[in-house]
Amino acid sequence: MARYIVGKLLQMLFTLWVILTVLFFLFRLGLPDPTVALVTDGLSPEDRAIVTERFGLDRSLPMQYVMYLGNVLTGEFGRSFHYNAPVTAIVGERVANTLILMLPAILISYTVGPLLGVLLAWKRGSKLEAGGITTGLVFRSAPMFWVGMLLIMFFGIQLGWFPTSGMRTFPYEAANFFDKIFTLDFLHHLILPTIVISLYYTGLPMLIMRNTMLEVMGEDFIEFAEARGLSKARIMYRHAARNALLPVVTQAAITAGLAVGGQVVVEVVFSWPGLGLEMFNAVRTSDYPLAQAAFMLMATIILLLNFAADIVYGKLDPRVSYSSQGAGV
Amino acid sequence: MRELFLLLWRSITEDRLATFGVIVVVLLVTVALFAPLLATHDPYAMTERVEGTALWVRGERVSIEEGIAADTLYSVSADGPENYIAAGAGGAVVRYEEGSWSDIETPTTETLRAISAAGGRSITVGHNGTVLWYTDGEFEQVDVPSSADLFGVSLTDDGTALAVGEDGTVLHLDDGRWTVIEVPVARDLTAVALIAPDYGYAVGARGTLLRFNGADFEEVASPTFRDLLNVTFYDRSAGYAVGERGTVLRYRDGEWSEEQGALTRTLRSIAMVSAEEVQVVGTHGDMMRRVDGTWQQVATGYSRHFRGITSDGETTVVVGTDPYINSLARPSADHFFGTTHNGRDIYSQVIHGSRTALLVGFVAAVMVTVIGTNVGLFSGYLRGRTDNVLMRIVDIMYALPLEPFAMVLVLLWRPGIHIIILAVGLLTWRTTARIIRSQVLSLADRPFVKAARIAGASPLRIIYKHIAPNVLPLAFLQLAVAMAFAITAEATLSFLGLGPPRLYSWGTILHQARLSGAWRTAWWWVVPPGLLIMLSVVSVFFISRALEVIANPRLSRR
Amino acid sequence: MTNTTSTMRTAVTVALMLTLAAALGFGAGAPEPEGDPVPEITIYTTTESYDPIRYEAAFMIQDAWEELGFQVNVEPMEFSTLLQYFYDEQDFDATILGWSGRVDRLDPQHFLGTLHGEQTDLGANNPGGYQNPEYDELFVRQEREFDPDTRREIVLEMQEIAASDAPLDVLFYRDEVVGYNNERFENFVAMAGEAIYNEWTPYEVTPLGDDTMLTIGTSQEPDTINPLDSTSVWGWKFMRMYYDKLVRLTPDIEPEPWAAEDIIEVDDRTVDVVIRDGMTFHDGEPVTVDDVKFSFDYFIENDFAYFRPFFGPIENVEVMDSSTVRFNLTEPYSPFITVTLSQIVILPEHIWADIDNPADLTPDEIPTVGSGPFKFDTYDRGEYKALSVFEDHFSAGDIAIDGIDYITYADSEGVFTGLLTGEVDMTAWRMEPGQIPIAEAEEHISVVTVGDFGYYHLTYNLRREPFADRALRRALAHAIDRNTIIDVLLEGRGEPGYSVIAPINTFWHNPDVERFEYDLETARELLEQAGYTWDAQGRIYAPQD
Repeated sequence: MARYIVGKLLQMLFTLWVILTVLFFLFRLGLPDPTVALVTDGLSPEDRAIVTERFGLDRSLPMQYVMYLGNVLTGEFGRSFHYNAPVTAIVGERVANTLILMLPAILISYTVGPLLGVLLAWKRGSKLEAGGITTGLVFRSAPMFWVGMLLIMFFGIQLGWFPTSGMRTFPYEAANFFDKIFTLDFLHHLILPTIVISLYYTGLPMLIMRNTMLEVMGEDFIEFAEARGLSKARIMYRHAARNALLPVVTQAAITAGLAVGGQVVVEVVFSWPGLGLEMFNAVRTSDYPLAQAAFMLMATIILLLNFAADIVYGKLDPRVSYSSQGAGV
Repeated sequence: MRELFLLLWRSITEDRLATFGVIVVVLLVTVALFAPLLATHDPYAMTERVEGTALWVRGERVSIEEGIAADTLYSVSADGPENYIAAGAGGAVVRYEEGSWSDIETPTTETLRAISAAGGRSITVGHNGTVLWYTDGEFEQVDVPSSADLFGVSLTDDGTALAVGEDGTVLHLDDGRWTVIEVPVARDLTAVALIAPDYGYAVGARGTLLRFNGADFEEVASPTFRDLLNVTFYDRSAGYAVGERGTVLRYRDGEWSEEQGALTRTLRSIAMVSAEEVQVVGTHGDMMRRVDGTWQQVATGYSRHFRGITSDGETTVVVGTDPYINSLARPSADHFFGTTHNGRDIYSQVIHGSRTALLVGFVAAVMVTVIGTNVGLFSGYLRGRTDNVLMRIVDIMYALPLEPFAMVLVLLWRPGIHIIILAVGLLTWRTTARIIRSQVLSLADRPFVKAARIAGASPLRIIYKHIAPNVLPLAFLQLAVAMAFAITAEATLSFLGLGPPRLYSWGTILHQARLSGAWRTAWWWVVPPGLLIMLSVVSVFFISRALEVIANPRLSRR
Repeated sequence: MTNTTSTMRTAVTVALMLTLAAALGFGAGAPEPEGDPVPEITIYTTTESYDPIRYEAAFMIQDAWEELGFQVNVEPMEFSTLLQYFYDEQDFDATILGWSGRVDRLDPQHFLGTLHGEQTDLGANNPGGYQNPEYDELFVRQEREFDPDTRREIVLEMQEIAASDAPLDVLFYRDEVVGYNNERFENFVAMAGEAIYNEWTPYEVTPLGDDTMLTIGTSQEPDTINPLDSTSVWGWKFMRMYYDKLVRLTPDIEPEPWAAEDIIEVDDRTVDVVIRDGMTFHDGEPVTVDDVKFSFDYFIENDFAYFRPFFGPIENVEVMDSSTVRFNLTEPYSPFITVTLSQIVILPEHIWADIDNPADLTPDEIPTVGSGPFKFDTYDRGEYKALSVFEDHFSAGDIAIDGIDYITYADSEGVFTGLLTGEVDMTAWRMEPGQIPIAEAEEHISVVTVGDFGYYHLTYNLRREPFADRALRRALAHAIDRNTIIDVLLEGRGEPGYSVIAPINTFWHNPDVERFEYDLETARELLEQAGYTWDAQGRIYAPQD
């Protein structure tokens, strides 16, 4: 087992190195010169050269690569061109914002979803089941940005019940990150985006749970339990569900991994200063160091979580994988 | 193969939701194919409206009368108590009498730019030297010694008049005779105010101000270089001139000075009830009035362009409406889903958008399935080094987020539909590959594969001849799932503005709605495209559920 | 399928060609043009998300030019890519871009320089490559002319020359339309180019209720709050509130001595500045002439690109006595007081003197002690900033508010929503056309419009066919419907442009430059006169030379 894990970890490091290298050259060869945007601020060509030199962009590409690689190994990801600050600080802050947005929603989805899934399996063949499946699929089909726009239109603007953007009302006083997020005001801001994300994500664990439950329910031990005269609810939730939970847990790991990158569209619609939005803008403004650090952070977490799922599950089960398709949208 | 299709057919027809899905998809494909025929408008055309309208302001009450003329009305003048006469494009003249507007025949089809009523008569002037007299309910064309376009006219009670026009043209009517007066500027003169036979002002382009003394004109130093478009005098000592960029000039006792107005767009007409009570109208529904020495905007609630105004203090009549953009119109028989802020027909955009969604959905899904299935087949059958390399690539693909990655592609190659397809295609074959691979892994140990291997079949032959047919149902299922994903992904990327320029997709429509700022009120702009995305994706899901039963027979056991 | 309209257009063209070919077969026939077809023209513009106005304008121009027989493509691209093609590579036919109106650009030097023949190198400000010896000569003359009226004559003449050569088309000057909450505050100050987000608004606004914190909504984030390192105007607009400057520009852009008590122009290369008595930094240390000298020396020594244009030819700074600093210039420089002294801030020597490499400071290390009327409180990147009134400042008595909150939103939609819901009291940046009518309809919002002296332009690459031909450029200028662009896309909030010096820059603007009214017939006639011909399909051909 230990050898397996070490082997997997080495593989992961190799994969990360490949991603890092590909991104490095892709960004530097493919994206526009980041200092060109300074021209509209009235910078002369000579003045631009100063900026280019400061960011080390005047060195040869292999040289830059070697230096970058060396820095990354020591945990140094460079300075953002746009913010003129170390990227680790920016990325750290953004990823915290994203997690605080995504995790509660995913937690809700992966609590409510499986419970509903059990219910659907229990009421196999009923109108409730058909209705539940249809509803789940409908919410998985509605694009999050659209649902977000509709909710803002109705609850934010028409009724004025919820704030329509951002994370909190200003001014506020907070000593640290935890002070910032454990306030009623913050929760108030969190409600609409959480609804949007949960509505979208609940369908998947619900359907997976239902499918696995149907399989589990055919197994012998369920029949034993029935023979022992246990109540239906007890059988469903205690015995069957416990055995059907594994694929859902695996899926949860995969979804959580993707969630680190944030949902750019949700962040856009709700003006949420998260990692996805930052990553998107970093690419747009050719801010290589920032974009690269964000991509790498995301890749690392996804690989780690997938790896964890692998360990938990032994190997990937087709039933889990094919239903996970929509998760990346 | 035939068996497979039969099975497919049966599982779809037996499942009501799947049947619904197939019907919707077929409908969408039909809409996409016949989009140009089904669309009622060019989705890019900014629809315009033009008509003659009257806006009434009585006290605080503002009301509009639409369609009192077929085309723009340029000018209005009061020719009696509660009587108004207005002239406009195509030689149209309308008169308001006893509570309603009626057309009056004129002997011309030239555009009439100005009308002035005094002493029970009216005179109107227009393009190509057109001058008409209105007396005793009849219009009569007058020959004048100029064929220049005339833009302004002013008539006094005792029958003298001035008309001004392009390139410094001035015509003077005195003793029933029209003569040309030479003026010291060659710029366009846009309006004239004559309050006595020997006293008046003409205004024109680049701030031109000309004083009339009964015989000729003299240029006056102007406080502005802005084009002036109208001038009005209350009496000899009080007057106003207005022009482009919200320019307001005040005339008091021989001095012109610039005054800070309340509007910044083009101002076109002035009504003076007294020396201090003044109202001004302009383009885009702009109106302002002077209260206690300062100008205040009057919200008319309309965005049409106004041209002429007259007021007696109680009742104000404003005419106008040059072609204006029919923006943010609610759904109607003309525009089923209403219009955008640029007057574009949303229904036609949505219809055209179906093409993009289906094209991207289908092409990307095929790409994903082909790549993913092949990778899965080779990885699963060959195992070892090949498997390892391919699975590391899959890992990499899993670790890249869609939106920023698509942005990288756009920066590399500029926006285009191929970028969206490529982004979706490159990033999503990973899942298909994994699923097919694990299926292949279990198939590879089956007796029929072993038999083929022993019989000496080449790996390629085994993969495509023996294993592939067995993963085909699963691949079909993946095709459907990938299609649903691709449609959503396309909408998402287009919503972020990464879509191809000048190609409507449902995501693009929502992108524009948000970009315009109008989405918060214009629900008709937001609801239809989103509903269609949802409908098409859910239909594909419904179908894929039916396919799942074939691909994964375990599920249908019960 | 990539472009339905173009497919349809192609189909129609093919049909037309077939019909015409058939007609030609029966004799008659138009004369066959002898020259070569005019090469296809590609217009580069921004993406729709970056600026819907420039995006739509490009397509409007395309339609008009195609009617004249040109083959025109429009390629929208990401802003940084666009800049790269335009400035760095000069690889374009025609590009739509803009210059923003920064206070120092009220002086005509910068905008006239964008057409200067010596700025045509890669990366420089004249990527179109316009070269006119007469213009270049005048450019040098105006630069050295110190009498404003004489200089004005030259500047007006230059505008006339440039306009009629049509090396670029100034499309429009876009109005800055912003809004504020009229139930909370009154007496906002509007300035050209900056609207109400300027240095004076915090001084003049008076609260109407209990809320004494002015809340500003913005979607622009300072790149850094390190004054030695900032490259964006948004960082600068924030920092100038808590740092002080020797001179401030009044709302009418007139210099007013500020931290300076008096400014004495000893001769045209020597300026003495007497500083105000009794000023202190926010940490209680006094502001001295040494701090002033240090600040200028430090800025110059740490030669950071962004501020270079502000400095001008400073030779050195001398401390004359306990209240006087002398600036020695290497050559006469007319914008010294209006630009240099009004833009460079006073830094506390006791804090910065120990920092050798200010550009390497991490965000936590950046000093925020100034001597300005407001003092720094909070900066949460991407979210929130706050300043409070510095009670010991000489102008603190004039300020009616207690401080300023800045809320950062992801985009202008967020800012606008904040204004609607009352979360913010004013917007820092303009509203989009679609938002304005909504704002006007709200009782609690007042809308303010100011003109801009920056402009949007369509610049031709004069190194390329067909734009080398002046006659063709003049014809194309007649085929740009500026009025419709403004009326429809900007809903009337802007004005058509004909000169690189905007009309609101009244002193330098030349209102009598040639105006190219939209008229396709005139355009066609001009092309015909210049020897252009059309084939039977209406495609335009270059004159045969």
